[in-house]
Amino acid sequence: MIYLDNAATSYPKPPEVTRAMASFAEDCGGNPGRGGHSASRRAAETVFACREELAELFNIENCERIVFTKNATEAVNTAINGLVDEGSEILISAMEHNAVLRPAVAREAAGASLRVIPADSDGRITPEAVEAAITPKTRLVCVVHASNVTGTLNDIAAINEVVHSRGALTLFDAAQTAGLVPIDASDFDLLAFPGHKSLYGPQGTGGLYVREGLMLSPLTCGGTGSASESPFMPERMPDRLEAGPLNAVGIAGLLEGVRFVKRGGLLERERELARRLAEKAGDIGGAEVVGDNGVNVVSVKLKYADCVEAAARLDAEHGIAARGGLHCAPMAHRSMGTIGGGTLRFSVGAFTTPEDVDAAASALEAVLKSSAF
Amino acid sequence: MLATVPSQTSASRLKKSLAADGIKSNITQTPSALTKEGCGYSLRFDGAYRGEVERAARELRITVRAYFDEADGGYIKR
Repeated sequence: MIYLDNAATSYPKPPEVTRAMASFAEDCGGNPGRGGHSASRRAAETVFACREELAELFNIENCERIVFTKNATEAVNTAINGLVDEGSEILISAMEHNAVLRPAVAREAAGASLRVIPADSDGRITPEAVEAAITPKTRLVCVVHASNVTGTLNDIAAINEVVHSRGALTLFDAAQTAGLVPIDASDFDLLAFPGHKSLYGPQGTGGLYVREGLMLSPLTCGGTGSASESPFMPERMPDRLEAGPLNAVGIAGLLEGVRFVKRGGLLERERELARRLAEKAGDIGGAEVVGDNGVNVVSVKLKYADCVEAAARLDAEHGIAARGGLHCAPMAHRSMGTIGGGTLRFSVGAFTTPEDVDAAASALEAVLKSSAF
Repeated sequence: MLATVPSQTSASRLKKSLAADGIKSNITQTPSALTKEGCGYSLRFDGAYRGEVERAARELRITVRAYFDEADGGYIKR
């Protein structure tokens, strides 16, 4: 199989990731922060090491401000539900994934006001568009770093500046960029990221960075291994937002994934592969590349074929894993004019080769030729 | 000596900072008798380094809840 769905989850993982998970499960197995015995302490050391590696990666001074979640979706939900209350306004970009849209709509139903920042023709959210949308009531502005549909990269540092100048808070969704595109989160308020995409950890890992001084209401309440006499969640981070046992086996894998991406060189390589694929796909009759492929994603609009069926044929006839449809981001497809049938999305990863990309382009051409009517 | 801290993560940060200065410490669960909050974590270190521990905690913005000397099988708050 040629795996080109790394925007859904990266595969394969570096061997050290799976080795670390197996080793943790077989040789450690303790619950971090739950007890004083050696298994618990060793588990805690692994979790702490991962927190520190992530803090360094995102230029965050205090690793206690990083909370582990099961994915970026849970991180986004923690941020939105923890900050946006009745009467306050939340702005989300028109390129957001349902991970942002749905919790925002749920807050709207609970009495908050929700507005959408429009995208330009490439699917980009400009600082100017953000500034024009902010009102004095705006509490939180949510913008995706790179669209999972188009791969278009937003200038989140500039957006952060604009939002702060207007007295609101920022939440950036780094689902497609964490580990791939350098991120300096030191001036951000909130950053949500998955562990299982370009950080090369396993599924079931992710995290949320919360700026120092920002106190969120917890999404989940429960045991933290600290301040147990209190019926309330502790104020201290990360415990405040980490109720219940962590996915320590997953975090052991994520630790090695983060170390893997820190070796560098992935962005240039993956961008080059994505652009190579975009160029070849764009030359195929009946295929139109959507967006600007700023990261590892190439989305193709098909004029004469169904995207989902084309993906199924690529898999069945050519052994190529790509994804057709709306990619859980209907707003983005509305913005790009592809809401009708969606797009066929290819996304490269650390282990994709130029030959894989060329094979995918040839296979797409073959599928489209025989699908055309 | 024991320094009681707010969380396991705080204890890990403090331990790492001290280790960078060559000071050995261990993370331990806080004995029940020393806390009114229930479960918690402490750092065990040589009491001669209390000043260094206080300084590191300040730099890391970690609130040490209390310091305890271990004596005669018990603890004395310092």
